[in-house]
Amino acid sequence: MSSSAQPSAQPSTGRLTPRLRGWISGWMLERGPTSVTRDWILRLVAIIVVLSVAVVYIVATVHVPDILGLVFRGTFTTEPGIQELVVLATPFFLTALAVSIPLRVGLWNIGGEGQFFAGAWLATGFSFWLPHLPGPLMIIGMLVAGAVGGAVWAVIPLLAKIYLNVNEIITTLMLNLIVVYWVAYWLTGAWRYGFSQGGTIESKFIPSQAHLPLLPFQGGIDSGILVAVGLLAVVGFVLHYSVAGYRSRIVGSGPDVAAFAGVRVRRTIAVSLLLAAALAGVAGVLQLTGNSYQLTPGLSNNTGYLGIAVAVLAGDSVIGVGVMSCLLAVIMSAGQIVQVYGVSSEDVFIIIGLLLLLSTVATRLGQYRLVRRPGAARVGSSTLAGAGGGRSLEAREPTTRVGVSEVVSLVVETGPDGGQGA
Amino acid sequence: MQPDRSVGDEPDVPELKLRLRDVRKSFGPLRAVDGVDFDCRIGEVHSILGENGAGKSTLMNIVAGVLSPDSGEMWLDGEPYEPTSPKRAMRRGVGMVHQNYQLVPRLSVAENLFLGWEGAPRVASLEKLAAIAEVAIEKHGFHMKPLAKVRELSVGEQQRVAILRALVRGASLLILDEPTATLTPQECDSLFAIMRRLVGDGHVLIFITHKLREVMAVSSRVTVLRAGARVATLPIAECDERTLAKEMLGHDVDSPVKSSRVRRYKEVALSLRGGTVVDGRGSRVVSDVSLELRAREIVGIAGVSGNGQRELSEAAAGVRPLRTGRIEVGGVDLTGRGAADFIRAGVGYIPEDRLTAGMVLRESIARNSIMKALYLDSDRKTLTRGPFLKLGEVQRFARQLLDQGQVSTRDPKVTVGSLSGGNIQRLLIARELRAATRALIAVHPTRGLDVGAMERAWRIFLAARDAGVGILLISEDLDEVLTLSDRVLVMYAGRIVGEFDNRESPPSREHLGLLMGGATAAELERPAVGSEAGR
Ligand SMILES: Nc1ncnc2c1ncn2[C@@H]1O[C@H](COP(=O)(O)OP(=O)(O)OP(=O)(O)O)[C@@H](O)[C@H]1O
Ligand SMILES: [Mg+2]
Repeated sequence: MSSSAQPSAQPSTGRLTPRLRGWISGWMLERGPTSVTRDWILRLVAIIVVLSVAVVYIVATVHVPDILGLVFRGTFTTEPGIQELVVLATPFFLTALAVSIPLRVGLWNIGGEGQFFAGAWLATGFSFWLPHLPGPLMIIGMLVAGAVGGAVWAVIPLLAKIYLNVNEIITTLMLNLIVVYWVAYWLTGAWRYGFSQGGTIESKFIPSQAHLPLLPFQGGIDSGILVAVGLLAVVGFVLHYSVAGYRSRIVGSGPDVAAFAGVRVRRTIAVSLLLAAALAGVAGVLQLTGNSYQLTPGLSNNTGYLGIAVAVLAGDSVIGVGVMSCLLAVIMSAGQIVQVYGVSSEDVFIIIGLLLLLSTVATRLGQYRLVRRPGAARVGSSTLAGAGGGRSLEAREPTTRVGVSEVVSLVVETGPDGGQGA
Repeated sequence: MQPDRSVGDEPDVPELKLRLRDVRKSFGPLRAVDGVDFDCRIGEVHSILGENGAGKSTLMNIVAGVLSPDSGEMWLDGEPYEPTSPKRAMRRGVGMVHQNYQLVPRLSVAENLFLGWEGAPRVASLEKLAAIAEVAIEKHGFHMKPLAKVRELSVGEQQRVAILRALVRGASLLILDEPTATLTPQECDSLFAIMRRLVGDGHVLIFITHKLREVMAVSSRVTVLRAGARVATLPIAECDERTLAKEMLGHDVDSPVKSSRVRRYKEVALSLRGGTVVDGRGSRVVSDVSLELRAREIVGIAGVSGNGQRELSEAAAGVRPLRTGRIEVGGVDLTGRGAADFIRAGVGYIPEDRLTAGMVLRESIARNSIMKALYLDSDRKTLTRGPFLKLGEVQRFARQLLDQGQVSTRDPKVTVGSLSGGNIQRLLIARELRAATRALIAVHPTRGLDVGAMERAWRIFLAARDAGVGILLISEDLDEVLTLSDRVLVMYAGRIVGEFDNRESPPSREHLGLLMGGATAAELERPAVGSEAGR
């Protein structure tokens, strides 16, 4: 073969015939610039694949005729189904933004869950401490209290980050655990509901004028969705069109550029994280005033954590946050229905996990595309031996290639019998 | 197989190391490499010349397996050659050293040599690796310690590690993409020595550069590319710098840039008094430097990289705080203020790290263009409405900069990362000049520019000076410093060690060179060679 190649590096051709191998090696994966549309198409493919797997799984395990129809109608066409979708989607918009906004400046806010509860806690307190405020004032006051509560819960991680460079993933995550006990303290103490000893812990109900009005549609839709969608639109507009949004992108591009461009990094980071945490806090308030009317340890239903998944699925797009929030709400809602038929709630989370995994992998893989190698007519050329991948070598959009034959021979060689043949 | 245009004058193919026929590569509508035939003979250093964006890097990336051509044929050592990855190119003995050397800074030289190489021993202690590395270092006549951390090496030494890494992997054809752009003159000389030695050992070298003098100094033949096409391949004996420049540009070179004398203004553009600056690791790299930059003058700071110029420039642009001392711009004390205040005061800055500091490669040209303008009252008014950007105006502004900088594209929506190295620099210069109403801090401003673009940049700098801007020019290129500067300062080990009035009594290159190398004034009195400890 080629003169200077290491003979030892020649891989076995596995079970592929030389002809087939030659044909395959005529193709290669080339890494090129990605585009937003491409990313979205790939995500869509990932979503379709995962949902198909879920459908197959459900049909195979749930022995109820027309189970898919049941689930579909239950999720999308019944009044309670639609109400549930709205209730589920509302907090996702905000808890996902709580991850997505700091991510633009390079911070992972894992504390959405804690900020959600901190906000809900302060809003609950507000309603108990000022129980006689009239309705609109009460609700606005609670929303503000929720934003403040959420933001305050991010202050310690923020200070630790900007002054001591402590990893924010750890601090925000730890604070999630603390808030659980803080809330439990109040639910078993001052705000305890009734006099039950050792029963479930939950707070007294908030005053009735603190309940969000229902929208006159489909038998009453939670109006918190309007707040959430409104905030999403405002945030999206600000990030895309404002000077501040522009600067946050510069900060996210690295400390050197930020210093060069005169952007105040600490301030930008602070604003991003506090804003994010405030939104998570508002999510808590919307859940409280729109749905449960009392503070409980299960108020969040994990939306603080699931917000991370939504944000990752959404890429760095605010519209994506909206779309993915709705998708996740659909999955959760459909999941609740199939649970009635014996599918476990873990299975629903497995689906979400798969979704996350596959769509991240898909967008990564999407940087590569299959191209015909030039001069590929000369089949089985001697220059194509061995496995190996390219690396990006210039500062610009890197272009890297991996021969398809490498992938295939890798698959063949690591097949069940180790490529030894039967 | 029959070549349509004869490149090599003799038909016997085996003489050729590398042979390309009608190689093409497009990026969208742009034909970056447009039907190039190229022959590289055994035993030669083959230089490639061309303007910024001519397609030099693209062509060589194709040869090195980084990019795939859209069409065309290649032969190496007389056999068909279709590398599909850099690794496979390496197996055929083709290695490329890019401008960023792709080394792992916190690992040792030995580890870097073997990293990611399939021929490296599977299991080996660091000592064993070091021993193998030592052999390779000896064999190629390099001087370096195998256990030294790459992070601690100078740029020139890092480059040698990158070259050695290719050689260890068995490269017989070595492609060097603008290797001299970041080197000091002394390091360039030792690189050339290494190149000659490699050729003597039977290696073939392809050498990309913008400096005609270097082409003349090391190569045996030169190929000139223009707009993706090969316009000439010439033996070096048959050309001179003038003909090369003419081939490259497609027209005669303009008369050389000459700085006219202008009276500098009394007004001080930027002044630094007793400035001390520490670097990222806390060691003091600029000690007690005082300088005064008047409006309408160019002060050149000559010095070998790593003597504090970078930190000095950062301090002068407000990017890095002063440890002690005082800095004023236009008579206003800005000590302790951030870069934003310096920008507002009219200080433009062309940093050394244009790719990591000056530009965001993944963002559009439009968004990169307004980085500075957003601080300047007049531009801010047109670009924004309240706290929001007027995206249409942003695009228009970017198009202006693209025009002014004569950047190869006029589309402000493409990312900066898709421009060629020289075109990124053109955009950067245009943006900073616009922001520099009082002072411009320019660090190696023409690095990576082709001759034409470099001379145009020089003229632009002189015009800016004539219009009243004070320019602090930090460069290792003595031609640049001596052509442009009204005054020349020499920096060594964090201090200013010499000052010359370049208009009245220009210093000799030798004298400057010695000062840059650390010779003291007393040593310069004696006619002895000085205490040069070059390796
Ligand atoms: N990945 C890419 N996507 C789009 N355009 C590209 C890409 N790579 C290169 N180009 C374009 O191809 C042309 C040739 O680029 P190349 O980097 O080969 O130029 P060059 O001769 O090396 O220039 P310089 O001297 O400035 O480094 C340029 O116009 C550049 O913008
Ligand atoms: Mg280049």
